[in-house]
Amino acid sequence: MPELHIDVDNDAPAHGDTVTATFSVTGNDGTPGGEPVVHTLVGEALFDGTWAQVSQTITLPGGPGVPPVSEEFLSVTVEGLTFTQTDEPAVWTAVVP
Amino acid sequence: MSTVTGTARVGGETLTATTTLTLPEPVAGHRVLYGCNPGGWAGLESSEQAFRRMAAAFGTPGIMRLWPNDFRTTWAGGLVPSYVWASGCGVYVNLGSDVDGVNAGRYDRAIDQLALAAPRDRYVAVSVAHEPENDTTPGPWAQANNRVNGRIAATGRTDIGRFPLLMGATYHPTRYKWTNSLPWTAWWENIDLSVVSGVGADCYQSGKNLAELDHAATVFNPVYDALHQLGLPQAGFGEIGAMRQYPGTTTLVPDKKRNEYLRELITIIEAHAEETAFAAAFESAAGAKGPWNFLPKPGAAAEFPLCVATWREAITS
Repeated sequence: MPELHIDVDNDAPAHGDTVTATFSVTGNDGTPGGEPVVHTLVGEALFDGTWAQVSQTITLPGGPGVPPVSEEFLSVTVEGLTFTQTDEPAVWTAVVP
Repeated sequence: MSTVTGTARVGGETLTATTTLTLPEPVAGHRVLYGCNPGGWAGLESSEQAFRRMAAAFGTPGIMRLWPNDFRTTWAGGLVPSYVWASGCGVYVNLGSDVDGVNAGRYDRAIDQLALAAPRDRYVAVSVAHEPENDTTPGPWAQANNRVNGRIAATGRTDIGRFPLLMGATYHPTRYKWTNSLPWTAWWENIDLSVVSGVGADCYQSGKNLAELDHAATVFNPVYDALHQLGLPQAGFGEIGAMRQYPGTTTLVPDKKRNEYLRELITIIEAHAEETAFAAAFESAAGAKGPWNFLPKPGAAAEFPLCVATWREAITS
């Protein structure tokens, strides 16, 4: 189950300082695919009145994995500051007036 | 201690997270920033020389009013000359009067860049369009102001002062008017008040002779009245001037009388200190013989010593 976290780089800023808030998400790793499975293919043929058997192995991929889910960072709010998203979606900044 | 709340959508699910920080106490009271305009006497001195003369006469200003008349995309050495920047004073920049260019989006990138790069170690304020009553109309003017102020606010730099600017007389119901002049309410009608800091005004004393000289209340009170009517927090006076000489004459206004006006205006501004961001005295390159200079012609004998002393007191107190 994904968990959301947020941290600020300065928890006691002064007037005029820029505060940077950064999101992080844990537990959003998706599910890995299953291990490959080796199967044996067996073939039989009647050859001059006699049954003959041949076999060949084949490696099939494991079960499909589940990728991490999408992450969209929507807002950072605190009374007295106006946070704005930077070019890095998880990083927001505000100037202390 | 304040709680910071972050909200994100993770895989279609909305999650929140919190942390805390301690914000500084709000600044108690408000100090009006007094300053000047480093124009200089035309042909006799550079702006830098004028600035240095002003600094010597008035002390370090709280703010300098600058008029680069374009959207230079750097602050130090660009919008703000290096010698002004180095003084550390606040800066109020009139970005010029290309209203149509602003409205066409020609400066959008520059505006964003300027906002994001604006210094944080001093007060910064901007206006767009100078004396718009002379060369544009309320619609385009409001549109240009909304565009500039909105873009600045959208960058998160709400610490930058944004002051739609008109001539001071426009805020007065009957004071000197000109053909097709409109009331200030017509100009402000379409201004987006949510992205401005307050009312901007360039306020000059006028009067044909000693008996007709304006008192400061006539010039400044209408601006505060407009501020209150709009419900905005602060006024910014980009240019202020006490008359140097009567129009069309070379007769100087007596120093004592000129100083009386300065005293009046400082008294009014200080009575409204909480709602006044700045007031910058005008020193004009173009106005070498104009009526508002504080400093005498370079090399000439000192003029208006009382005025200089009063303005020095305002700037440095």
